[in-house]
Amino acid sequence: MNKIKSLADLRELKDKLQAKTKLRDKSESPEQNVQVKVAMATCCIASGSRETMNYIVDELDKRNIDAVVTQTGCMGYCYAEPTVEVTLPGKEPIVFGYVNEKKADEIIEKYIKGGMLVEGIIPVNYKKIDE
Amino acid sequence: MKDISCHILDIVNNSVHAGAKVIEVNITKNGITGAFILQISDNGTGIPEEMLTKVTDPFITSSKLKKVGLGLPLLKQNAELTGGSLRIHSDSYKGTEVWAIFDSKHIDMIPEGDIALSVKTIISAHPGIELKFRYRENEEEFSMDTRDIKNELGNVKINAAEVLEFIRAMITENIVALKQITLTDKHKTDLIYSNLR
Repeated sequence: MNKIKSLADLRELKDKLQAKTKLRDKSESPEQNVQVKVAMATCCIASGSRETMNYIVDELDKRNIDAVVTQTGCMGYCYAEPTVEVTLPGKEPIVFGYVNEKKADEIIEKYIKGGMLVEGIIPVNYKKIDE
Repeated sequence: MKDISCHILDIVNNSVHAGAKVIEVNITKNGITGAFILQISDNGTGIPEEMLTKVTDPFITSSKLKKVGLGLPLLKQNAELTGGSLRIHSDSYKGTEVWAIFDSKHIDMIPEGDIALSVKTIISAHPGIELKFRYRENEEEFSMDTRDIKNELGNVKINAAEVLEFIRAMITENIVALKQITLTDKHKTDLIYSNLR
């Protein structure tokens, strides 16, 4: 039987991570980071936003993208849950609806990495032409 | 809600909104009687007395954005479906304590789900909040405190992806180990169970 993980095993992991975070801290400046907000209210949890959030956290780390992933309350688009708001540095925030793992992958690959818009945008904050 | 783990995530979010800094999640299972108790307590702002009797009404919420608040009503429904109940105790400015009592042997009992994933999600979304998690099955228990983890980590952030994955694996493995202990003790459990009948 494999040994069950305990707090003592965390020490090994810590030494490994310390070397890694030093490299990362240099490139860390808040306005340069991608910000991802996952809605996590009752409606969102019931439709699977927990899985979406974990997928995004894991994948952004795997693909070496510096991003801040946080959660928000219900944005009022309960019909389109799980919803995710992505803010690229220097751009307006964009809200995506029906974000399952497949959609999340598309958003990371196309929008966060390449700046290309993908389907499923909920028009929340648009400006009129005469504004 | 599909399972217990989703309810945990949902109720803990209430605590976070109430400005809690320390949140405790306790799960106590009794394999003999089937009693399953989920207890979540926090040190947030608490619920005002006049609201306390109304919080399980789905059309009562403290949110100004929407007109429904389904978190506690859904938990109450799922508990009552198994013949259990929901109890809330709250002191203004001291905190709130929620007890959901289930009968895990009832056919309408919802599954436990991925509790480790919920704990991981809570820590990842709110790294500043101290979470104490305890899972007790029969006489054995596993407990975890983010304060211990932070002490161990030093200057490494608790919401680093590797640390989060470690926490999830640690909880999953320990819960599985707890279940194996009860299986090898099955003989003993069966004896007590038959005595009760």
